[in-house]
Amino acid sequence: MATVQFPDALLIRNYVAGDESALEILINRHQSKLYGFIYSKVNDRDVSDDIFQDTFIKVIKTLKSDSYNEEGKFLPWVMRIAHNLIVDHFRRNKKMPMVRDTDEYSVFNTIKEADLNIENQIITEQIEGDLRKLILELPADQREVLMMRMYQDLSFKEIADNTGVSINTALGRMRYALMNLRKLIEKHQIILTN
Amino acid sequence: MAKIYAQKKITVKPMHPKPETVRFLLNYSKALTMKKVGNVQLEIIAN
Repeated sequence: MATVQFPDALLIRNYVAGDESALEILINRHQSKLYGFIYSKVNDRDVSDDIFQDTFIKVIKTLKSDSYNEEGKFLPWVMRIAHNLIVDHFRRNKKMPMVRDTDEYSVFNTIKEADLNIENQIITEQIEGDLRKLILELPADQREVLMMRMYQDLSFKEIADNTGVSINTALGRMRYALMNLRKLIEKHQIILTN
Repeated sequence: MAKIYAQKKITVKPMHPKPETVRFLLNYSKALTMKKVGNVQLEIIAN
């Protein structure tokens, strides 16, 4: 059975008259083109979603307030709204650039380091010293995995390769290392927070 | 043997917004009523 595709103009008329399902059809029909257009400019999924949302909020408000004029076509009009919002986004970002976490850089590292005064530095050094002593008490196989994971930042796959065991064994050793560390902390009654 | 330089068809997966974004818009639309009072356009959001 052939499916009838209603033209945009008819859907808009129905929507303005109160048929909410017409909006769903309009969004589904044009979402890919519009989203692709926004993403091609901003190159970020989250920002694209925000701009897509803001675009349709403007569309909804305009249609509901009955101030849409049928002169142009629907999609070019929506694209123009999106384009203006993209320009706004870049203007805003120029004034206040957004910093994002990457693999090498975390904004929280900067905040954390900036917060360290002399007292905090001494406390941190003591905690790290206590922790190192506790780690030395762990069984050798568990200590090896924990050191590789925490201090060398290796993945469990790399740890498994380096130690000649399976990933599951490496994971298990890490788990036992942490459990034993907790026991040692309790036993020595050490407080590892500042 | 001569190489065949067939043009590789570029297949680009269409991009879509997150389903929750679309869901939000549909719910927002259902909740929104625009009322004109004099020269002022009022937005009323039903809870």
